[in-house]
Amino acid sequence: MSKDLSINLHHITRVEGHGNIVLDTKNGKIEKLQWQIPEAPRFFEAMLKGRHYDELRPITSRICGICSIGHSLASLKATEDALGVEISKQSALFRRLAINGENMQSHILHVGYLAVPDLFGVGSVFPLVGSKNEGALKKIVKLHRISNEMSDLICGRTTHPIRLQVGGFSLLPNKKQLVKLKDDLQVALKTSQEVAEVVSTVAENFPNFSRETEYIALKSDSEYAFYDGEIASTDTGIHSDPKKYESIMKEYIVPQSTAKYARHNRESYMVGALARFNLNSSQLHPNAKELAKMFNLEAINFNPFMNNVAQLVEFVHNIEDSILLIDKLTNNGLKPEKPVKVKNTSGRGIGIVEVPRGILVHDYTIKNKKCVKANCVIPTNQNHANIQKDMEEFVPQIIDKPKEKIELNLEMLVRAYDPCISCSTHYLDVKFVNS
Amino acid sequence: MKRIGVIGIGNPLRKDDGIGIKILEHLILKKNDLSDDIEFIDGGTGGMNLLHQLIKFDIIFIIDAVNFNKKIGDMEVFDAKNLESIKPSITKSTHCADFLSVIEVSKRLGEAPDKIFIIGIQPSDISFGNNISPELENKVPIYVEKIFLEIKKQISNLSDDLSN
Repeated sequence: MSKDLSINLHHITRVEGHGNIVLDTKNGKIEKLQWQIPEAPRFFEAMLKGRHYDELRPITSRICGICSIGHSLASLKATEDALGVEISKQSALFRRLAINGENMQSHILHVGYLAVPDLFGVGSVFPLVGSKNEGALKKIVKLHRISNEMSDLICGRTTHPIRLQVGGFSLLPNKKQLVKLKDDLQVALKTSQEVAEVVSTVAENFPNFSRETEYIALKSDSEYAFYDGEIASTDTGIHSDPKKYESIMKEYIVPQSTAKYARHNRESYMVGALARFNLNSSQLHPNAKELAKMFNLEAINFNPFMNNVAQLVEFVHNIEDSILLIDKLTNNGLKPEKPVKVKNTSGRGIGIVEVPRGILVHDYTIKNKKCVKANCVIPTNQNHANIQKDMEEFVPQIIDKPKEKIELNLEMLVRAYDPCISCSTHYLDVKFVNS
Repeated sequence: MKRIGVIGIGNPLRKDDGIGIKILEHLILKKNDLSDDIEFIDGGTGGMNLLHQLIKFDIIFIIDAVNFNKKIGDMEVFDAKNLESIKPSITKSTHCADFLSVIEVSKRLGEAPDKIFIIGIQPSDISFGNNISPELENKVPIYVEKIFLEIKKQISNLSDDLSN
């Protein structure tokens, strides 16, 4: 079908004038199709220079309000690697609880408040209140609340944590609090299955689109990797030397974007829940595996929209994993521990963790306790090229649809990645109701 | 007993966007002169994660940089009912949610209290950097004192309501 189209979707995120989808077609032929995005996190790297190693975590936790725990953990791992610190086994278990809490917070927020309204065809979370789906929304809010309370308990805050320190934790929850958390998580496990059943009734509304690409995530022999592991690719297998991360996450510049794109074995790759699922699904806990089956999600799945489903699967996995971690901690007997002291004052360290949107690297060089060089590889930047390539293959498949439907599908595609580019400032821009 | 929440919002690494956090830190130092029922929260850039704070309180004060087209450094107290965001709402990314969207969701769920006050300060510069602009920095003691008095006034109104 011959068709002229001009789509310019500004403010896919709310960064001024950026985060845009531009599509121009003439006689049904694509003349311009761009995912335009601004760079932001690089400024934070400059802010780390000259700072004492104790300041690096609090600063980097402000890079993102949704992934502040993940940035904190990557920062601590890099600092501890540089300064020869080995945390206790107990601290490592608590850090796994912390990363589970954040992943749960972020995933249920994304699936519940963004993907579910798309599936119900209502545009935003607001119309769900008072609709026949309000019950499902209230369950989602309940799950989000439990996830936040878990982060609060383990990290001292829901956002921008304060208890995570170089060498361990400044304060730990007691046994009674952990037992209560376990009870809440057991309720959440049941509730999450009820939510999944509701989502499964409308999952057919995810566009049926697949594009073969490379997936990169951490991989571990002992667990579905979030906190520890080696960099792995669905194309090239395990890359065990973390210092060579830059040869895997190869960044490059494109004209339409001030944010760098990234590639490895192909012209683009994807990170995030679907990447982790594609690499590690055999290590999911039982209920999470059942949930994946319910949605017919099997590795390797090349549909980026299924990232939403992979997030739901991971949400359940994180609950099951947290229950096991609490059992381990309480069975071992909680020990009062102070953070382990640093051994060295200089060195280079690399911290790699999985945050909700994918693999995150912090790389610090510290001299005489001060940071002299920092590099942070952010998941969203790694996904930009993949979003662009997805669009290039997706648009010809939907070009005959009405313009509004094309716009919605392209927005849904971007939303499936939930790009993190706009949370570094939160000032309010307002008008008065009666003006 | 009524519960009061004071929430600082913003990013200290985006210059004046961090004014809410800066003022919050100063208010915490004066907390012994206020009621025991006040909780101070560093909301940072938590967006929709702050939804779960609103249900905990009967009165909430939100301190944030607000573009309300006044002189740089001006501070005003608004009833949240009288403000409408002109930013896109939480329809595109979970990172989009400004606090007015969070309040809206909370209200629709029947959770937010009726009394939510936004204490807005007109920013000068929200680019990257960890220093507040001098126009705002110089006024921090004034902001803190005014907000302290505003919170005391609301506590006093509450006490009157309870005794009537």
